[in-house]
Amino acid sequence: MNKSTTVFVVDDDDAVRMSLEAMLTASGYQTRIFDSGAAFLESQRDCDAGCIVLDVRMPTISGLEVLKILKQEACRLPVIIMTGHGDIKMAIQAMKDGAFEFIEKPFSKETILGAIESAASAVPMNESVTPKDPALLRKIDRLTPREREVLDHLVIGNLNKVIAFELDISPRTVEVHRARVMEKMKATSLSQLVRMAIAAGLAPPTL
Amino acid sequence: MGALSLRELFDASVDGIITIDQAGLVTAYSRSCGELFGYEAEEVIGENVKMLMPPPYHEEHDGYLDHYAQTEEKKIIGIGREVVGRRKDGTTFPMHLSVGELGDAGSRGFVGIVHDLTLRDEAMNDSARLGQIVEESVNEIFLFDEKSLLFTYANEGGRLNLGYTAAELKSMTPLNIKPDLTTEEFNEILRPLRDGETDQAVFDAVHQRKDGSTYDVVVRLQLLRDETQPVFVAFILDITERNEARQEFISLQAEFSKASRVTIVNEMAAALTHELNQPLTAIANYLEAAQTFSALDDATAQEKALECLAKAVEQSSRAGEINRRLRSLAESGQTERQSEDVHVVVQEACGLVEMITDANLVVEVDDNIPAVMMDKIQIQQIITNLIRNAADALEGATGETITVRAELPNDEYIMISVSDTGPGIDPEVAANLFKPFATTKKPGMGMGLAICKSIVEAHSGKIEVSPNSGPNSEQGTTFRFSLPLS
Repeated sequence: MNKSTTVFVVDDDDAVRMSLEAMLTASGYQTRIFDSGAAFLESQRDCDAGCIVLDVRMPTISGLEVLKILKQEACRLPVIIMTGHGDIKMAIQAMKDGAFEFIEKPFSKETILGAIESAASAVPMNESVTPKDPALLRKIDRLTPREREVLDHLVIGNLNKVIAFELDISPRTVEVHRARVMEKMKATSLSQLVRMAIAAGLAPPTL
Repeated sequence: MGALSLRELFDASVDGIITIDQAGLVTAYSRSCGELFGYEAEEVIGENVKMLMPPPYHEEHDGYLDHYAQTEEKKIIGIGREVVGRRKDGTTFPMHLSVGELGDAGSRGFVGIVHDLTLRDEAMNDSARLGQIVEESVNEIFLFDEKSLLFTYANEGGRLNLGYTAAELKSMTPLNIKPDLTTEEFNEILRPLRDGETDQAVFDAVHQRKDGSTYDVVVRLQLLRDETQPVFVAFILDITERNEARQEFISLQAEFSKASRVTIVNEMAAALTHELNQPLTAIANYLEAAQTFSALDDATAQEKALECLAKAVEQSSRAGEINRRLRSLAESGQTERQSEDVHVVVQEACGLVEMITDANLVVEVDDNIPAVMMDKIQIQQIITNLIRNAADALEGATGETITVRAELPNDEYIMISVSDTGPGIDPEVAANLFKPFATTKKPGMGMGLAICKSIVEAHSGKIEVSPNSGPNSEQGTTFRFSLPLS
């Protein structure tokens, strides 16, 4: 990403917002911070350069709602969703609503900078989902039936324990299948895996 | 009225009259005898009277006559006794037979007057059966004199449960077995019965056994006037079992409350874990920033690095504070009442749930509120529950407000209320709100408010719900509960 472009940080938690600003500034990014979705949506912003780092749980207007409004406004900035523990389903909903990626709090500098960097090189959010990429479908075909089942559960946001219960196997076995799925799909994060699943039309339309 | 002939008198008698000679042969047979025995006079006259008797009298009667003829020893003669008669159809009936002697030794005969006892026996059987039922009833049944109040009767159930003998009870009154009741109180209970204002008095009491132990009873009293001496009859229902069942219900409720506390603790733990992520994220960010800044050879950057480190330290205290709250929540498994600062109780409770709602959470605690004895966790459970309900009522709305207030309306109790500006509650729904399993929420068992109510009541307080009133609050709902100050 051209570091002269702007990272918009939207988070209602003062400490998270300001610490992100400090860290991104230290890393050479320009930042603009907003303490609510409303403040961000009302702001004057150039929608052609930069990316948005958006907290999913915020009072008044949630991250998911901000995302929907941006989509309606045809905003082309890639959106990185920040979630807390246990918000996977919300994160996956965000992905389906066009978010570029989600990262779980607390995250490392590498994770968020990596996400910002790949967002910069990615296509704008409304076009980020390429339906039925043949290479992707081939990767999915190489999964065993069990791995495929695990994938289906992962991309709807089920935790390992839940998957283990649903498939009547041990959580340890789920972990093994999950690792194999990630490897075969060449995904480095759950976020990427979900993006692929959405692209391949695997994730169900509603959660 | 002209003189009646002996014959007319004989036939008009309701009781049967039979005369026999000394051989036992029937010489006269009154009309009423026909009704008693089913034989016409022609069938009986001249026959041995034993035909009207079932065994063993039938076989023995001739012997009685011989015995009397030889010894003159009177057995039944002049006295009469209960015997059994035999009808023409072979059935028997109880009768009283009085026997008199006629004539003299030369032409001796006997007259028997037969009084049918069938009806009396039936009546006696009924009353005996009734008496048996009363006697054997496991309920305690007592009769006591209307004036002296001394027991005149106590059934077996009463005697066994109390441990007194019938003789002992005869010199006792109900006051002797009701230690909690004064003479005045008892007279006040009896008065409407004596005055005829009511037919029955029902009251709860405690009975004390001879051994000193006590048990809870419900007493039903009636005054029976159709006796020569009016008596009170008391039906006693031992409700120890019912009270035990109630106790069991209460302990079940406590269990349930505990279980729900566990659920709430789990929920709170999840919420706090989530909350913990915020300072952890900030710490990581500040430290990363500090690291990056400190690598720069620039005085301003060094300053910024130090600033970031200081902020990271601040955030670690924030994380520690959340952790402390989590621990105090998890440790409070037992219900314990202590004197608690209401400000702290309310603020902490609000802090636990402020993140579950988008609404503005306004907290107003009256500075004059003194410390109150309570189980802090239980009371916080109510407050968080009410806030949670308010948040659900406001779901999807923006710019709404939830107000949590603690007030001191008088010097007897404090009032804690949670108001929302939501759509309000249907009065029909409101009526059943505190009952278990009443819910309008899709994912909900409807136990929340029932538990709140049981907790408030365990603290001798009251909980109620009402629509908001006042000029600035046309809509919305307020839940309020009181906690007594002592």
